[in-house]
Order: sequence, then structure tokens, then C-alpha cells
Amino acid sequence: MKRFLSGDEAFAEGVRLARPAVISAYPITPQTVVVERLSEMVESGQLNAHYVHVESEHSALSCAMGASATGARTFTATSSQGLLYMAEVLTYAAGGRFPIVMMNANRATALPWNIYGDQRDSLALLDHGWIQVYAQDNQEALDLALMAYAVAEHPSVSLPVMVNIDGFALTHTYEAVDIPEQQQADEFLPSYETRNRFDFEQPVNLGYSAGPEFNRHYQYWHHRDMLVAETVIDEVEQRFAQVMGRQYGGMAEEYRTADAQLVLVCVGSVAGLVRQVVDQLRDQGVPCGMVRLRYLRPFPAQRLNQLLAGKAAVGVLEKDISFGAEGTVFTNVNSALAQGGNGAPTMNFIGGLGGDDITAAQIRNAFARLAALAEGDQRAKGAPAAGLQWAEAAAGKASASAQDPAPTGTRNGLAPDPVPTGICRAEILSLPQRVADEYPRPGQPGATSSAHSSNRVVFLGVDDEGEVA
Amino acid sequence: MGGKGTVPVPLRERLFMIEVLWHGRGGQGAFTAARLLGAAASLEEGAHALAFPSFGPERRGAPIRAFTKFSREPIGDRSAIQRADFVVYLDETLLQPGWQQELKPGGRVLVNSCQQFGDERIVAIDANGISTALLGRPIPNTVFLGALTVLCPSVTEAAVKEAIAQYMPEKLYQKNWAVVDEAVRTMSAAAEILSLPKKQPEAACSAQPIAKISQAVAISGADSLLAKKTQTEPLPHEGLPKAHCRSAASSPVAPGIRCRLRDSADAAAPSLNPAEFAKNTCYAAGHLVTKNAGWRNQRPIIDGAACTLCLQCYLYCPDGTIFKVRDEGGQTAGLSIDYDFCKGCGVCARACRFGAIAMVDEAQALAVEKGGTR
Repeated sequence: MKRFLSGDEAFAEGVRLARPAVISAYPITPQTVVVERLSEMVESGQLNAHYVHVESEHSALSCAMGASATGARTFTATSSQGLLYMAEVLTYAAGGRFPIVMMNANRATALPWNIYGDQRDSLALLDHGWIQVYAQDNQEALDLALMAYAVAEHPSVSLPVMVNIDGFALTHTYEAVDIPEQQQADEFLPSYETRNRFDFEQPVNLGYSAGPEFNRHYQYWHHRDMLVAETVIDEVEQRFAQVMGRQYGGMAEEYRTADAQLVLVCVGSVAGLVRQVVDQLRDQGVPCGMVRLRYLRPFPAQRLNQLLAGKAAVGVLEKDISFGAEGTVFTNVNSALAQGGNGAPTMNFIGGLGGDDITAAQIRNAFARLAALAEGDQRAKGAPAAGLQWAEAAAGKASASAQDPAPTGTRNGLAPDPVPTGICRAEILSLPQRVADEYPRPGQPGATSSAHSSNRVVFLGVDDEGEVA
Repeated sequence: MGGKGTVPVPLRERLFMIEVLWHGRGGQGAFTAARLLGAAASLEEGAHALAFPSFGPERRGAPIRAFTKFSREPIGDRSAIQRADFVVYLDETLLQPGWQQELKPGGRVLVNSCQQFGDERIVAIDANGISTALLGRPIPNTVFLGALTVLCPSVTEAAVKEAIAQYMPEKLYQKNWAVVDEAVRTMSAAAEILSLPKKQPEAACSAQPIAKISQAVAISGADSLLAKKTQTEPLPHEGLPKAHCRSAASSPVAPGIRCRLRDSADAAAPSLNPAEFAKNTCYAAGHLVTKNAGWRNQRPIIDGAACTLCLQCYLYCPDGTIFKVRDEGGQTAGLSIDYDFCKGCGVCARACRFGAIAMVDEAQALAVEKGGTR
């Protein structure tokens, strides 16, 4: 059935179809609507589940863990500070191998206080042992609610899954969504059966300890099963496609990368805009493409190396910054490429923080910077440098823009504003004057800071536009 | 979504997206209208639509924006609409100078108003009149859904009605169908007249049973009309002592009156340089915050002559915006209101037992300030 729903509402429909036995959650913007809808479904009898009101996020996940220990399918949801507050329990749930599904509405973290979307909350908790997946749109959000249980409860995995949906850009944005029939959902996701649980007939313990001689085995198998999850995820998606008729792109989805030289890697809902910019730049002769990382844990290193082999430059666009280093997704991508022997130069674009819009012009500019980066790399290697030509095309200097059917209007997804000139300025990480005077900028003469990769991290809206007015 | 990413769309087949920007106040149903329009537009096979509100704290009466985008192609850009094909104002006080910047070339503004705006791009519809007649209350949102079906061919009246039936409570949707019918009738009749710019707009008004639609031939800029229209009536606080009706903009303090710190001219202005403010541990209240964030549509004015200094308003103000003004000797000489933070809730006026606080129209008060009447 087709309905016009917000991401939160769509996700609630997905959870309903998964028939969880216990739901425990504490409301927080922009997650609130998903738990409101679920509580209404429980109250009306549409969903036969225990809905537990808890006093905090820490308790929400603790409660889900307790319920999961009895073999019940459980659900919780949170966002931002709520996710950080339940951080302690995240490692309990993962280490205890509870197949809980949690929706996280990606939102900025304080201070400054900010309710809008970015991905610093879940990326800060990448190392807490959960499978992490990121949706691009509301249909994928709904479908992931079902697929997440299938992955989490798979006997070879048995790990909790965090489904991330971008705050507001998905949670509060309405679009048409196909809601599967309950019968289809039941066929795809049968009820959860496990012998790995509390049982009054055969009493067992929970929350055990393991000293040094055993601990490493728990960690090894946690890691190993996380890697196995990659195969399980592919199987689950195949089965989902057979039942529902919707096929997803596995660990990482690609768009026009086969013959691309410049590829931008991104996460979540911004992929829709990147895709449209790629189309526009392709029309202007820029050989560009996009990779959308769907799963960040397990990290699809192998898939990424397949998609990015032989590219002239790779960018990573993310709504996150690990202060003093670089974006966390960038770190992960660089590590995978280095291990895969991929020598392409890389650059990090940090944007969308605290709900900032990432614009089509910024993405075009990012591709222009990648083109310049490729050119420098090609010259250094003594190879024919095509990068400059791409940079000019990306900056709209090529005559291809004359093909625009209506220069005065706004074509689908493309902002009418001109592409900023002055691409790939040398002064990246432009610190305001007062500070720059006291301490030279990292990478400048006289600087003592070895700021990691400072010349490869670009703050959208700051580095490319100067100071915020 | 999976699948749709694999086949590139050739340039010539990418069609234009229609973008509708809704301005309203919390409670007027701006987002409901944006959502219903998106639902209607996405009913057709192969159509795509997004609808979302401006994100932020919500309150009845506070200005909000909502957005609808629809297209024949998947819509990847989820950012707020900067320039729209149609900009709808459910409350005419939100139509401010600079409105043109939100309009695409050839775009139209639809405003809930009985006034004429002197600009052919602005179409005024008495949506409060239509909705009050048919719903018993001025809920103007669905009037504009009907009007848009006339102006925007890719959304049909049938689709809008279907969306209303699907997404509105049963007891409401029949009445809102009637609202749409009336809006379509009114708008269709007006559209005919509007296509002939020489025709007098009064003719359009008199032809309508309930609503007035007006669109004057562009003579002078709408901006000047907007600025002028509220300057005629004197405000009730004219002639009051300045200390009792301090304007946030000019902050005049009467001689001999010492204000608390936030009114002191000596206080350093908060920095707008990121190198400075981004390092702050503590903030002056209101720093980097839009003054009262456009929430106030009624302004409390204290009449110093009637005020007994009982301090009930001071105690009841939920935002602590009423403060004591002291004289040279440090004695309380009167009360004043910090209009940077006052949201215009009117609790103070209700709490006052001496009728010393009047609530006046904010738009009028602003016009008087701008006109330099005081």
C-alpha cells in the first residue's frame, strides 16, 4: 500500500510489520514520532507488543536487553544525546550478543545545543560493537527495519543493529512509501526463535564476566561474526528482493563509477543530491561518480576497493568531524584504500553539521577540488594531467552549460546559483585572523602543529566561503 | 532506494520540479497543506514528491515555513526551498519586503488577504473569509490547495480531494472538500479576470460570493505599499513616558533613570566573529538568536500612569522579560519590557488588575517605529 509518510512514520510501519514483542524507548527530537506511532499502534491493538515507558535512554536499552534475553524480539529508538546517554549499555548489548534493533535519528551533539541533523552521534559510537546501517530515503528506512531483524537474529551474526536515518531530512520529511502487507513481512521475517535465552526450566546467567584468558575469545568472535555479517547482509537483501521486489545495493551502492575518474563517497540522505550533481557534471563532461556507504560496521573495505580501483581522486563527504584529526568516515575509507593498495589521492569534505544544508553548488565545488587534486597527483607522477580540464568543466567554464534547457529556472535538484570560482584554494582550514596571528595555521611556515591531514580536510561553508557572517 | 540509482537520466528527460513554499503561523495548518499537496502530487503513477516543515521549536502563533516539491523524477535535494514557483502566505503579516527573493521568475505569491498589493505577481485571496464561512473558523490552509489546482496544472482538484480524504480525519474532510470547491470556483473566475490586466480588480471582488481576490496592476512596488499600509492609525502608547515603552531597536532611556546591565550602553556588544564567539564558554542571553524570533504578533505596552508597581506582571511573565527601572536613588521608578525576548503571549496584560498593559498589533508598532513617529 502506497502512503505519503515521514521517515519516522515509515520506520514505525516497518517495526509494526516486524512484530516485536517488547518496545522500550524514551522520546527525543527528532525520533519522537516513531515511538509515538508505535505506542498508538500498541494501544489500538494494531500491534501486539508490550510498550514500556522508561525514564531514560540508558534504561530504554537496558530494558530492551532484558527482554531480548528472554528470547523476545525487541525494539528501541533514540537520537543524539539520548544515544550518548545509553552508550554504556551499547557495549553490553553488543558484547552480550542481543539481536536488538534500534533506530537512531541522526542528530548533532551538544554543545552548542542543536536539535538538527548530522551524523556525529552514531559515528562517535562506531566502535561499540553494533552493526551500523544508514538509509537514504524513507522507503529504505522502512525496509531496513525488517532487514535489520533478519540480520541481527541470524544465528551466525547475533548482534544488535543500529539503523540510522538522518534527522529531519528523513525523519520529518514526507514522501510516498510502499508499505508491504503483513503476510509478505511474515514470509520474509518469521517469528524469532532461539535457544540462546533465559529459561525457567534450565536456569542460566546473564551479564557474565570473563577474565584475560577468556576475554580475547569473546572479542575475536564478536569481530569475526561482524565480518560474517557482510555475507549475511547480502543474503538477506536477496531474500528481501525475492519477497518484496525491492533490491538494495548491499554494503555500498555505486552510481556511475564504472568509467569515473573522480568519485565522491558519502553516507545517508545526501546521496540523493550527490547523484543529481553527478548527472549534471557528466553532462558537462566531468568523469565523476558516487559511492554511498550503506553499512559502516562491518566496514565494506573490499567492496570499496573494487569500486574505487584506478580512480584519479576520491573524496569523502560526511556530516562528522573527529576534532584534531579528520572525519571518521574519511579515516575508515583511507585505511581501506591503503590496505587495498589504492594510491588515489583523497580529500575530506565536512558539511551538514548541526543541520546545515549541503548545497548542489558545494558538491560541484567538491568535485572541482577533486579534479584539481587529481591534476596535482598526475603531474607529480609525470602522467598526462587531465584534472585541470575536469576542474574547469566542473566549475562550469565549459560550454556544456549552454545545453541547459532553461537557464532561468531550477532544474530538478540543481540550484540556480553559479558555481563558486576560486576552486581548490591553497588556504584550507582558514583560521580567523586573530588566532592565525598568534599561532601559524597547521601546514604553514613556522607551524609546530602536525595536524593530521590538515590539508585534506575541507569544512564546507567555512573553508570555501571564508568566515561565517 | 535501490534500483533507481543504476540508470542515469538523460538531461533532456529531466523535467522541471515544482516548488511551493508555505508561510504561516503555528496553528494555521501550513505544514498540513504542504503535506496534503505532496500527497496529492504523488498519487499519480511515476510522480515524486517531498513535503517537510521548517525544522525547529514549535508554538502556536509562531511563524513557520513548510515546503512541497514535486517532479516526474526522484527528488534528491532535501534542502529547504530558496526560490519557489509558488509562495503562499497564510498570514499576510508574514509578507515582508524582500518577498521577491523567494520567487522564481514567473512565480506567483498567494496571500491570505483582502488587500491589494500593487504587484501583478501577488494574488490575494480572502481565505479566512472562505474558511470561516464553510468551516466556522479561519483555517485558511485548504483554500490554497484549491487555488493551486487552478494555477498549477500538474496537481488536479481530484488529487487534492483524494489526499484530503486519505489524510484528514473523517469528520473534517467533507467540509474541506467544500472549501476546495469554493477556492477553485473563486480562483478560476479570478484567473480569467487576472489574465486581462486592464480589468478593474474590484470587478473580481464583487463577482465573488464569499471571497475577494485582488491583484492590482503593478503601479508602484508592493514593498512601499507594505511599508505604508500600517502607518495611519496612532498607537495607544503614543505620548507615554519613554521609560515605559522602550523600543528594542532604539533603547532610549529617560534622563535620570538607571537601567540594569542589559540596558547599559557600556555593555560590550556581543561579537559576531566566529574566532571569538565560537570559543565562548558562557553567553549573553540572546546572543546569535534572532530577536524574539518573529514570535510576537501582539506587543504589550505598559501605561506608566496607570501602573501601581504591584509587580504582578513581573511575576507572571513566563520569560522574565519585565524588569524594574530604577531612578538615581536606586528606587523602582517603573517597569519596562525587554522586547528582544518578549514573545507577546499577553499573560502580563491578563495579570494586570489595573488595565495598565495594552496589547497592540506588532505590525503596527513596527511600522510606527520605522516611520519615526515616536
